[in-house]
Amino acid sequence: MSEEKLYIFKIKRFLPEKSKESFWQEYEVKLSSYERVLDGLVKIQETLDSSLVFRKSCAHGICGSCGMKINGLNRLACQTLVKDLPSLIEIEPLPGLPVIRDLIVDMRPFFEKNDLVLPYLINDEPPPERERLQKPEDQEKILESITCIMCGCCTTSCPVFLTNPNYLGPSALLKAYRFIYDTRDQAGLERLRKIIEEMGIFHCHSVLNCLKACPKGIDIPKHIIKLKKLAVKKTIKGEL
Amino acid sequence: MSYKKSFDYIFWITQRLTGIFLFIYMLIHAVFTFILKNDKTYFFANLVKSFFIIKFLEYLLILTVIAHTLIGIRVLLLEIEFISTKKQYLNNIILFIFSVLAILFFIKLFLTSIFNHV
Repeated sequence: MSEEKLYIFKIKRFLPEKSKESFWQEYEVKLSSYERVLDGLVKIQETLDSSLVFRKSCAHGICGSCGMKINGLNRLACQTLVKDLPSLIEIEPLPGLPVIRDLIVDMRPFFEKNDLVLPYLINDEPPPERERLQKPEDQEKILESITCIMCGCCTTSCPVFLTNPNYLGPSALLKAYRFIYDTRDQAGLERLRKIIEEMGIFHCHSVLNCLKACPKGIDIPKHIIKLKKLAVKKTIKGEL
Repeated sequence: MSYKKSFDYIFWITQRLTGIFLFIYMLIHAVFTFILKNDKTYFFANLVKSFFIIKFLEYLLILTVIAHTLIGIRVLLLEIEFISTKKQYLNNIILFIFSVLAILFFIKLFLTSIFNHV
């Protein structure tokens, strides 16, 4: 078992019943090098301060619940090892979304933006007996975008979203890409129209923060650029 | 490392600031040159332009235009997929070109000011 090291967790807290202002609180926790930020938070909650709240579910980088700003970068607490961080760990809720309490933010504005791009398969043809099949090369096109866990780290790291909350954000645009390039879907043009009209693709300024923030390592700007090219092509052809 | 310290973010904010500055500058420049269009002002403008501080500010203006253009070219190169978004050397190239041009401009400025005095 590796040796334990003392870490200071500096957490931005918000207790609406006590104060309207958020404040910083420090906790000292001993953690082993193989432990994650989420383990530290659980330890604080169980042994030091039971009033501290945060979201967690799978704790294995799949559900995307524990997205938070750790030392200035949006990451998943369950995927961030404490050994990769300095002994002072600053934790804040995801920026740009209303804080409910401590590290819990209201994700509704984020999900509402995802809903705008119709994030489901639209196909009017009667379904086949078993399933709608797809060629491997067609699946390859959307393979990276499928791995999105919708944690919100990318959208809340985007300065365009932080300065203009009406902007759809990288996550919604990635979701749109996932269905526009899906050969089984038939509502590609409708989605494309939506992401142009609803403060979408052309508001992306290639700041590339989403690329750094994505805990799944998805090249989100590449997908947005592909959507921009497609939109331009369709406009020139007069299809949009 | 926070987002605010990344070159991508700095470039984004620089392009917005230089864009606003250049727009305001061009507006003022166009209005003033249109209003004050006579021999007296022409003579006065030439006199003011010989001051070192004005020359220095002119060089700063040129560098602002260059910075704005280079960052625009960066976005263009990314969007035509000439360079992958994952490659960070594009930022280094932009910084290198800007630094070389800035140094060359200031060397020229100081050399011309020295030789003019001699």
